[in-house]
Amino acid sequence: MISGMQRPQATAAKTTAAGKGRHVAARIAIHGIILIISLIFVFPLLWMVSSSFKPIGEIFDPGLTIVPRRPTLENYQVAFAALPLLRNFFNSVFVATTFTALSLFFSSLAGFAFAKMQFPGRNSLFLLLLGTMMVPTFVTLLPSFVIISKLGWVDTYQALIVPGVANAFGIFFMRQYIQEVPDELLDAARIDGGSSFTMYRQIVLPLVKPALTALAIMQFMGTWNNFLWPLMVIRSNEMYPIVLAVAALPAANFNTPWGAVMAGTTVAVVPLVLFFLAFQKQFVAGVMRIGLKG
Amino acid sequence: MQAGVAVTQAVPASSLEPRLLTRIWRARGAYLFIAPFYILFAVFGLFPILFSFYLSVVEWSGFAPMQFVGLSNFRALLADDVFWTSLINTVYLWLGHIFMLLLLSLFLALLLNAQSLRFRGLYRAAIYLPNTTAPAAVALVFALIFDFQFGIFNSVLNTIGLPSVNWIGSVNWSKPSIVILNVWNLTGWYMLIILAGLQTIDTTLYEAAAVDGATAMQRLRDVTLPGLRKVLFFCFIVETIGSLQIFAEPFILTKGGPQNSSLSLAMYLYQSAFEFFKLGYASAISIVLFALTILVSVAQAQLWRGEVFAE
Repeated sequence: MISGMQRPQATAAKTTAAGKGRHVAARIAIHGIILIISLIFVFPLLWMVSSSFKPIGEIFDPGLTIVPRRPTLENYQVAFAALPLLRNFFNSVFVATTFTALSLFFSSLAGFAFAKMQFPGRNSLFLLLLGTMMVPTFVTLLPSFVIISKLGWVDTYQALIVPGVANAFGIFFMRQYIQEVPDELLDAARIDGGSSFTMYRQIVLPLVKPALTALAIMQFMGTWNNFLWPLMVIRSNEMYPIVLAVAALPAANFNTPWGAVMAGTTVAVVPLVLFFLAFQKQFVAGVMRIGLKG
Repeated sequence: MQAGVAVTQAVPASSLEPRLLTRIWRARGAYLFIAPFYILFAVFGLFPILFSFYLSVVEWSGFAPMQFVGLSNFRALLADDVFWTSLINTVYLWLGHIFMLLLLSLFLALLLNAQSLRFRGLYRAAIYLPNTTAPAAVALVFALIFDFQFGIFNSVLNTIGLPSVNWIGSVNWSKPSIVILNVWNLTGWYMLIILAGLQTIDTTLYEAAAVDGATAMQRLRDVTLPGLRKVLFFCFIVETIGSLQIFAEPFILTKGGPQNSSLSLAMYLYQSAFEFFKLGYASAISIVLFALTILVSVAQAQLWRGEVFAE
């Protein structure tokens, strides 16, 4: 865990008073740089939330007014009147939750089989999976759309949920983690007469909980933020996920109602930001572990 | 159900090789475990790949029956100016952002790797936040920020004495606008991946470098960067595949304009299929996108093997 950046400070601390002064200056400089960059990264989100509470005239005021002078909820009223945003919000919650649950179940089950079971064709089946991970999504998009319309699934929840559940990344991710579960634990369970499914449920799942959490956060955010696929298969305002609904807001009027659009994007974006902040630790830990495997 | 796990251990390799069908039957539990995934995968993962090759050689509006036309979709593409424009735009967007994005991510990861840095978690979260947002939604926020007359970006430029720029409304600046949105959106993610990579570097190398009296710059050049090559290569490939498919950002922020100056290959594919109802033609574009991805990935693998993986 010792980093390149930490070392110079550790050695500098032991040297003279002049060195100490330079060390403090360097530290202030580093904080200054990171602070400015952090503020730049957060700014568009702050600006979005702030603009969503500003009356029309104030949105176009020059100058960096973060706190609205005359805060109003008018923009939210306009946005919610223009589109069924509550329903759209529910659609996103429902689709992302169902998708994540199914994907986690299928990926961990198959990941377990690939990590801990022997069967003819195991390696070729897994290679096939890895191979398709390199194929751009765009190649499968049109044919998948054709299948969805043949099934009569256009404008339904299953069109949003089912096709994406079969993503190779989930299996790959789970297999990496399940491989680390010690075989002795599974052997002991087998001697006790447990079936493979019991092993999966009682031994493997509890041990790979951090991986499941990290994967769940990634899948949930990915589904929530997806734009192109819903754009292709969803036709009615009522079935739009929230991101799609919000993207449709400017087109609904001749003059873009910027206040209402900012209110809409706030509704679409802020829940996920909060969701991330709540699960940040687990998420970062999960991503870090992938890195450790190189 | 007990079958899977123990089969190979239970049957020593020296004993009679059981017939394939028997082995498959014994491992039926394993197949049951992978079945739900593979059934979906076959329908929505594998079949579409093959089907898109088929679609690329037919003419089809989606309503009337398909007509086999051989390679004429591809011939039409070669003669299509809009296709070439979108291809060039896509390459511009890819090369225009990837170096800036990865250098910035690397720089931030190196700064934020120091355990002793206070508020490290806070900074990391701030820089990561944009990555949690939907590009399609925040593109609207950037449309407001980039606004020529009233946007905050131009008023900041004016404050520091620079002239206003017509970001999304001019042929020259539409692509840089998308690049800015892209870098803002993705830096946090790659910073996190590179931070993870930094944890894998053998700490004894730093101790050895310290004993040899190496300066901070020397440690960075001789230990840190070589230790990160695999991770950086991974980032490069993943981001290349992703950015060649860029869609939501130009679709929302610039609508591909003005005058197709920010029309991406993926957007043109979408337009061909859903606005012009030329599904065969759109599939041909997707095959070109596929070929381009493979070409670029292989070329990069060669390049990195030659220059970076060389010990």
